[in-house]
Amino acid sequence: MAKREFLGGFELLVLLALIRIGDEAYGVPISEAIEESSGKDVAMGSVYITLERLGQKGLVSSRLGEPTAERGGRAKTYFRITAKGLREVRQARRTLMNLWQGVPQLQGGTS
Amino acid sequence: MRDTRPPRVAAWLFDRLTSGPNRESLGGDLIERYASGRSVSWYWRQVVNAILGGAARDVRDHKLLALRAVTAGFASMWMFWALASIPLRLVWVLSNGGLYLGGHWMTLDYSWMHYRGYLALLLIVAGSAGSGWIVGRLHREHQAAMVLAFLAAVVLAGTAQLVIQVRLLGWPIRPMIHSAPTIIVLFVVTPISVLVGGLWTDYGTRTTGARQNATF
Repeated sequence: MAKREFLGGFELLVLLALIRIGDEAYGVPISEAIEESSGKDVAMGSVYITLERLGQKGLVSSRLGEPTAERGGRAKTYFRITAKGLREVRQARRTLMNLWQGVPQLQGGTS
Repeated sequence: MRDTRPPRVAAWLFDRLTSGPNRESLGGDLIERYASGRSVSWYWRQVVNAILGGAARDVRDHKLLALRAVTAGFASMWMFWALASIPLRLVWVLSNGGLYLGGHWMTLDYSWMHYRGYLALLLIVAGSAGSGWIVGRLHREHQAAMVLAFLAAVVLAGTAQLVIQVRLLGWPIRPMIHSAPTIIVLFVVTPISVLVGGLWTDYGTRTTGARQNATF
């Protein structure tokens, strides 16, 4: 069986947020998307560390925006999922779905 | 009306202690979210998380460098203590009967014994700050992370020292009164001195700082 690295739980959340937001994805909307869907507060430093790691794996690319006064003269860094990243997300989905199916404890209900 | 500028001390700590290619963007994101209504405590939590998370990442990525930083820090601290013990011992000898040197009795008033404590405190501050400075100076590339790694090692060593002392001697009858100076020196004075000394190294370059953004 091929040896490959699995996506971590938070990595998957960040990649899914990137896919949802599209071209305008930077730290703030990514964190907000994860917070809204999970109902938990997100540490933005962790989001950036995860994005850096995903970038090193070639799953995410980034570009620098222009600095603005509202952000204390600091630029935004926009992130985008790469084709490889998209493949990894699909693979993670398949793996999760396979494991999900046929487990009685996970059938029905939301809690 | 609410001030939309983030807490000054937290913002200063962020600028001084965070690292990584996206620190500027992260700083901007925190300002943006704070201005949109997030609380002061939220901002502080985010800053502490960014500092510790960034330092942990740097130490994980550069384990040997971190080991070198801790070793260099303790070695310089030890050397400083070896040197600092000379004036402390001299004051003790001179104020306890004196020293016959070159045909003269050299003495100090016994009241100098009371000042020995202050002198020791001063030397602890100088020695800790000096060793922090050396660590920072030797590791400019990952300065904050290496200084924080050394600081964590100092706190760990202080804890170990305290545990061993308690094991050997037991707690005194009034532990807080007797142990307070030791605890304050081990866990407040020394770590703060290490941090200040370590971050003093490139104070000028960071405050005038160039943008450190990077893309991948």
